[in-house]
Amino acid sequence: MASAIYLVELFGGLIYLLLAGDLLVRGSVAMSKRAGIPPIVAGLTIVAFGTSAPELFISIGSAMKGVPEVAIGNVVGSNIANVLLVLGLPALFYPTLCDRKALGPDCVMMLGGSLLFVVLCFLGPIGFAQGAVLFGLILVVLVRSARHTRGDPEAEAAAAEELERGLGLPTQRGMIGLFLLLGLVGLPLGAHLMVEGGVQLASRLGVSNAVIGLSVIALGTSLPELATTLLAALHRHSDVALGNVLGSNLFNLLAVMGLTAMVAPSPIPVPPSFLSFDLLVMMGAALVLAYLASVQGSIGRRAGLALLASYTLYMVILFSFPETGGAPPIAGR
Amino acid sequence: MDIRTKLIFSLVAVSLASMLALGAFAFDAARNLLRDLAVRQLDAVAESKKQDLDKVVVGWRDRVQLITSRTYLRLRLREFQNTGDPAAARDIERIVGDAAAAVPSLRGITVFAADGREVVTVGSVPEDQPLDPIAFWAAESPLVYQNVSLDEEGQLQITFVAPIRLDGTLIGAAKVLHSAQELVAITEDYTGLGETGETLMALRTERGDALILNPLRQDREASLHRVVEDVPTVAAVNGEAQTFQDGVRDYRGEEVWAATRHLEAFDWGLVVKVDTAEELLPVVELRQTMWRLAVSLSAFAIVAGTLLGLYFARPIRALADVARRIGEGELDVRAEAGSDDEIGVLARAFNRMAEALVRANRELERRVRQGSP
Repeated sequence: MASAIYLVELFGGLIYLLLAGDLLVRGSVAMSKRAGIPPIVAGLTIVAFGTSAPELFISIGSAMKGVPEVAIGNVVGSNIANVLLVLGLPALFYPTLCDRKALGPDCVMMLGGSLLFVVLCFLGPIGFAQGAVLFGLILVVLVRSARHTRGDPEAEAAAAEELERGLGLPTQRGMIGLFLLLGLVGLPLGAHLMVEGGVQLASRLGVSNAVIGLSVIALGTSLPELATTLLAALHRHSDVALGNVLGSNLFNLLAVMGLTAMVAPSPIPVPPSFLSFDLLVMMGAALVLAYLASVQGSIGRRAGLALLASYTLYMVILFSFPETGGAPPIAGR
Repeated sequence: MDIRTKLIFSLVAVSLASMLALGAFAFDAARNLLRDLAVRQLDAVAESKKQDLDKVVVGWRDRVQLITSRTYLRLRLREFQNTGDPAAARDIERIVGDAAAAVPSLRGITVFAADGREVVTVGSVPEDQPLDPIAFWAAESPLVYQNVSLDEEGQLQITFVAPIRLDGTLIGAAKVLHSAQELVAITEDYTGLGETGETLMALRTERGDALILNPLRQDREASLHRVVEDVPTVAAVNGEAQTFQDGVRDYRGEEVWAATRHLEAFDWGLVVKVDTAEELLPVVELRQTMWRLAVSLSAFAIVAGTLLGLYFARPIRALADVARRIGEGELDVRAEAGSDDEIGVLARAFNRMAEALVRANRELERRVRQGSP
């Protein structure tokens, strides 16, 4: 019964996180429209941060609660899930195609970001300085994207259309304020429920907090991406999936981890199991993603099946060795 | 604001409000239940401790009576009373000394003749309160409390007097100094009292407040040093046996639940109490769990609101799309009007309007072509 309560908390937290993130984005975009901020700037800042707000609040919330392994587990687990599950499952229904040329620079940035993050993890706890480096880099990436798109009327028009599509923006000032308020209240609330439920569930299941962060919580925060990609595949419009995953992974590593490390009360320690296993899986997934996006340019059914099988295997391993924090007891451990 | 968001807001507000109201009622009921159980348990603990303390006092009485009821002692005491024979006094000292040596908790004993003369003293007996023969003459009790004090090590000791009778006649009394550690040990058994609960014995002072007798869990130096005037302790020293619930504070100012008893043998009060905050901890945790659960369960309202919103918005969006296409000149498109709900009614009305517009337009075109007004 108690486990069911924690599962309900996890579910409730996730739904609140998603709703609050959505409200925050809609309120912020509506406010930026009233303030006359160009859509391209709003898209690269408000929407980019707003859509990653669930991951951000989960990571910050868990670092504040004294369970930093959930914070780092969420980031690493999300990046693994984004590649293996979010790209793998939809490919079973319809092949994912992409523009190899356009995604080339994004692939390089994502690989560079992943490598930097892994190196920082091996160098020790991720403190304020390391967080500032990561966060500084995402600002550089965003400014570069804005410059790249600015002056291109087609890109700006596309950004404006993308910004408002299906959002249902509030128009009245009071309603905009309400959206922002509910978003800002709902995000920490949802994060609190999810972290609390996750930590309690980990205790019940006899697994580490890191395993819960890598699995249940990471999977939860990746669900919106999975739903979007799955719907796109079912409608046979999965050409944006790879680009979305690339952006999401880069944002997780640089913005979410960077900001979390900057505001955490103490440096975020990297569990040993991450150094010997999970970070390697994440790096491997990043390499696979880069290969699929920049070399192959598509993900067919067989590749999708392979990705999905890899994710399943990863989950099985995580829960098979709870005493090592999810890492298999391989040589040297 | 779109329909989906309106539905989500409404459903979440209604579900949260109802669940929070339910939670508030449940919390109140659980709190009252827990309080009743805790107070009942406190009352039982207080009664049990009173009985244990009474048994100790009965034990002391029996020990002293084992000494004072020795026939040879009483005969020699009457002899001393009548003749003042020093040999009788030496006999009494030997008998009392042998008996006292067999009872380690007995610190000292003084035997008085009925006229108040001191016959012998074995061990150490405080002389701060002289024996009042009249009181013993009148006393029916086999054991009369005199006072309490602390020994050199700060441990509680008690002085009491046992009358000595022979053939129904009072021939003297024994003033006894006895260790009170057996009483203290009972108060220091915290079984069933959690982390903060404690038992205190107190006596009424001349000012009407209460002097603590035993070392307390929260104040080890309280014995004969701390004077308190909190409601439960004052009630106890005034002979009241009752329970105290909400709004009662102890000597520390902490809110407590308490049960009191009166120890008739010494006219002391007994208080057994626990901190309300500790006792309510499970209910507070339950309230937090219910709050988190209420918020979590209201997430189902978000899901329901989203699904309902999409369900309602889809035909409306389709209708809007048809209107846009007709506006762009596609006069033959019509809205899907299969459903029998309000949206279906709207779609059928819309289609009739479109038909009428198309007919009017065609009529207009026909007239224009014929050149007639």
